[in-house]
Amino acid sequence: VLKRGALLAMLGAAVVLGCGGGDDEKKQTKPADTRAPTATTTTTPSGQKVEVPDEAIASRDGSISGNAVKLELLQLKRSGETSALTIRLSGLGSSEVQVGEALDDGVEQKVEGSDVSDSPVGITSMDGITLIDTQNRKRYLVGRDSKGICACDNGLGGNFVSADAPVVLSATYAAPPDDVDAMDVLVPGFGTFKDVPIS
Amino acid sequence: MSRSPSVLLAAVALAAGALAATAAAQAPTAGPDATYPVLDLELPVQSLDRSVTTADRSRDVKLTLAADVLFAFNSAKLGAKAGPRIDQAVAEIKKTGARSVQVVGHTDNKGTPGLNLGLSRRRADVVERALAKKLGNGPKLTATGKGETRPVAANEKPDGSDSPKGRALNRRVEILIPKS
Repeated sequence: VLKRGALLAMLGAAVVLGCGGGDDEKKQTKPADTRAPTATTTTTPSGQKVEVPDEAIASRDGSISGNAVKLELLQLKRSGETSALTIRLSGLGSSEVQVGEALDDGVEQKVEGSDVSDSPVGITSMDGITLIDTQNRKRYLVGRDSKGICACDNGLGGNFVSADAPVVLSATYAAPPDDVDAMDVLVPGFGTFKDVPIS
Repeated sequence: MSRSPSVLLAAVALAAGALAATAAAQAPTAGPDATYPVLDLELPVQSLDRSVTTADRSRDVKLTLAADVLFAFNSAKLGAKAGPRIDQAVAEIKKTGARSVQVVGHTDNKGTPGLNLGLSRRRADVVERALAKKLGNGPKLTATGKGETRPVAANEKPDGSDSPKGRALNRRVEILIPKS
């Protein structure tokens, strides 16, 4: 279920808190903010610090290696020429679940221009997640650096999730054209999340 | 649906805040010999049928045409489905106004290296000629083949078994359009 309201509320709060500046506003005494925080800074497995909204914009239950897992789409955010997708995985059962290859596209990417004997970068990233711009009929793949490493969380073979210990993951894509406000998000094993709003 | 200015402002404010927080949190703490490499990021955008992938890079635009859509197995003759993909490449080249374009053929590792090198060269030549026909007195086109030596994916899975998906990614013709 998409929760655009939550996202718009968060954006609205940012306008109120971050875009002041007039004289009248400087004199104004702000009442104590008793609202719960709307975002939290967290660290992804690759050490990237990301600020994520507390409330997901969409979620779906699925399974990894037969274990029940919940996947939440936290944010699809445009920033200049790139956009970043942030998701959260958590276990629904009593046991820990290894993320492993569940979100990978199943292909070991090579370093472009390298010799065939160079070691590949594995198949435990989240590069299987793609974005679809239905308006322009385009598929957006995870970005890669010039060494072939995806601009996303990888090495997920060592990551386990449980009900108490979710993991937040992030991937970078090209930004769609300015007039595209929502994209479909395809997640291996979890299907297609339709019309996910871009913030 | 279009975004309102206030939402845009909020998004920019949020992005700026998040970037500042990230920068502060990730301030380097390593010793004087530490290096902080900055690598170019390739952000691929693909047609829904996966036949054409465009990557806007810092120095050029790279178009990757899936060889399986352009050619039949082991053939260097353009098939019926090649036309629209060639047209798309032509449009991209015209858009950039590039004065030189490089066409590079690649194969997977089935067969001998020598045969693959020859096949990749012939395929690059055919694509170059198709582009030249449509571009007329446009940019200078050059064609080369790399055979199986420049894979973008592993031809085998980690357990050593065959990876058809990886091999399909390696069978490709790249069109490199330098940015002026």
